[in-house]
Amino acid sequence: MNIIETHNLTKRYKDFTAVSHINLHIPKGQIYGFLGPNGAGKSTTMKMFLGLTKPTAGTFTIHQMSYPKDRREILRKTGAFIESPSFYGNLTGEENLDILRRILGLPKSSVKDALTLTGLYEFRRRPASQYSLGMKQRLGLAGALLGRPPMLILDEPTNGLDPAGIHEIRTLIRSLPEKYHCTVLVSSHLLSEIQLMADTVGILNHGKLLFEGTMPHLTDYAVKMGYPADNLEDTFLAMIEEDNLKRGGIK
Amino acid sequence: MTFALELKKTKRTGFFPAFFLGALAASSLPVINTAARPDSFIHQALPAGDILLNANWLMLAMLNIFLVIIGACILYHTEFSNGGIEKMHMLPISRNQIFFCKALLLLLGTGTMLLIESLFLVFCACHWFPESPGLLSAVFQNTCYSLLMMLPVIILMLLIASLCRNMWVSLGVGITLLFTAQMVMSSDTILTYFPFALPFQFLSSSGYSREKTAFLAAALTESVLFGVFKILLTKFRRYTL
Amino acid sequence: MNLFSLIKIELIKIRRTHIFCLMIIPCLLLWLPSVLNADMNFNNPSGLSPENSFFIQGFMGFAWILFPALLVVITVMLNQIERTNKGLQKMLSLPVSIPMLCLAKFFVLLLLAGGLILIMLALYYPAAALASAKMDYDFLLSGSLVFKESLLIYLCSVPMAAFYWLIAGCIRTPVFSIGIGLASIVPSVLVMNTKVWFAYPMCYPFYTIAKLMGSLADGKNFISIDLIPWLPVAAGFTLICILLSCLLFGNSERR
Repeated sequence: MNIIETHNLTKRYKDFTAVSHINLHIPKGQIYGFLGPNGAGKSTTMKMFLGLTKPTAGTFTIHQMSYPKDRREILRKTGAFIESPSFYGNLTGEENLDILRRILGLPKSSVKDALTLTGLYEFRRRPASQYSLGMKQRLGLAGALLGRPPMLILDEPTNGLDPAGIHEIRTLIRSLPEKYHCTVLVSSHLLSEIQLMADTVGILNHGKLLFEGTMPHLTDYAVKMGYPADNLEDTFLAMIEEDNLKRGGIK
Repeated sequence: MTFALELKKTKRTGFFPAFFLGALAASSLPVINTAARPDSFIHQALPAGDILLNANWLMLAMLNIFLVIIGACILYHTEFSNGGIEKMHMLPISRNQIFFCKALLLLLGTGTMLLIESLFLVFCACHWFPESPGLLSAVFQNTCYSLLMMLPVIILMLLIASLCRNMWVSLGVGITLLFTAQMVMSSDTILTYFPFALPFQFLSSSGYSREKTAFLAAALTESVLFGVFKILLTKFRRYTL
Repeated sequence: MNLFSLIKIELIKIRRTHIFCLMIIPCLLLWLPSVLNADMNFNNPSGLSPENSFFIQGFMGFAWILFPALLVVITVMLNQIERTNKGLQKMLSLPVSIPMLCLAKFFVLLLLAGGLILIMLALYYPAAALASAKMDYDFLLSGSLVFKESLLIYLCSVPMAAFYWLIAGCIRTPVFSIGIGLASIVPSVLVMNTKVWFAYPMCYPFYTIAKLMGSLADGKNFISIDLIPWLPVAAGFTLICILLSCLLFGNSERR
């Protein structure tokens, strides 16, 4: 069963199309990797799922619900982390999460749970403005994981983390579907990263969906299209490059 | 060169538009004020310039100081908001030069503003007081005088803005200073020479009295003092800010 | 999530913002020269008694510039708390009603404005006591007059606060929303002497205190202000401002 489905979803800003007629199918209980170079439209798509921006055309459903009718219900079931983390700099990590907890109507223990899960517990009393980049990133993640929602939308969650941190967060995300039966939509511009986490992958370039399918499918597809299939990173790069060439770009 | 760069930095910050629109807003006050109740003004037995300045200068000066506060905040906010100033400090360029070029910019903005306001005052005078000899020279002198009286405010405000990383602090300090000036400007002590109280002075047709010259001297002394203070600060606080 | 718990959340957000320092210091600065120049109250040109003059002078400075200016700064600050680290974006991706969120923030603004008046009141008494000790004359006024006038100033400031709230919400560059807010204070001296003073909410607090000064000078202890058309205009203005700001709230975060 698909938890998120989009139909010709499109977002146009004045003179530029960020997302163009994409049809995504995100299956329940899996990790969906959303892959694409910078500026491909990943964040814009995720923002539309959160009601942070209005689609120009097309529709989408989450849990068979849609915006703006079921906005609150969708948001209640979704934990999100978009672009650079958003927080209140004057408040401590704990207070930041406490605000979210109150709005979501969760028990007090959920804050500690989220802080421990992301390894922020010992820094909980420090103002968020004094956090390092990695800690801010973790705070954003903790905010998304708060209350263990059935759907998680994570936009480049490992940005700015050190290798150990990347590994840790990746393992955490990998374990989520089994532990809490949740669905995760995670974006990245690194295929190597997605490869290690995702069950299904969608590849986006310049607002267009180039490929959607499981990891084994991607390998098959690469072989069929004549891309280098032994290294998926090369597959990805070749795919993007060819698409750019088709669009009349310069190599 | 530094000046050209500083000018470039104000692009899209709304610095000059702020002064221009602010000046237009301020200039509309004397026009509205006179148009709304011309009877209470035209029968006064004073030169036209004096009547208009008496009636409106308090408001105009306040708006001018507000704009200088905001202008100084804009100039340094672009530096601090995304760490631009740190990059500047890594380049072979004098810190004082940056500061004084910004001061010059602010002076330019203020000058434009005062000029626009004076034009509107002249318009008011011509429209409601057709017979007003010596009007142009009186207004022109007042413009120059006011610009000089603004100088300490400009340098002090810029100094504050350059010292506070957080724009809110400099803004708060500026408004508090302006407010204090409001409280002290009518006292008859040395407090009337308070930097933010000086711009409330204007030149009436009687010209330079001893008092006005004293204010002028105070304004210049204070400006030099604040400037020297800034130079000393950059010398001794090289590694902080 | 009801309005009350949202207000509680908004109050958590202003922790450690030094908003109270910002409110206390200017009020202290206001009373300081009043106490130092207390002797000036004895030769008041408008015929006020010294104790009345002391009170009016202080509160007039407050109602004219300080109170509106601080309201502007507080309003923009409340908005900036949300914007500097994109806190608002997180809020918008949570299951709360957006107009309700906006309303809760407006109530916090009103609470802070109330706090400002309380600070002013709390400082009036020690200031008057100090001046009394200095001049050997009783400057303390009866509580009811002082409280009534403070309450009146507070109530009058609601339309103004709504206007500033709208401005701060619509204009994203903080310097400009502050600029417009501050610039709107200055003409109140002009407008309040005209017949249409009620059409300019920024002059309400100043108007009431000027009225009070007039009636105190006439030896009366109360102020009479025509409530029509003042009240309907003020109420309509407030409602429109709040409605608009609730509709526009967070729009630029949801482009």
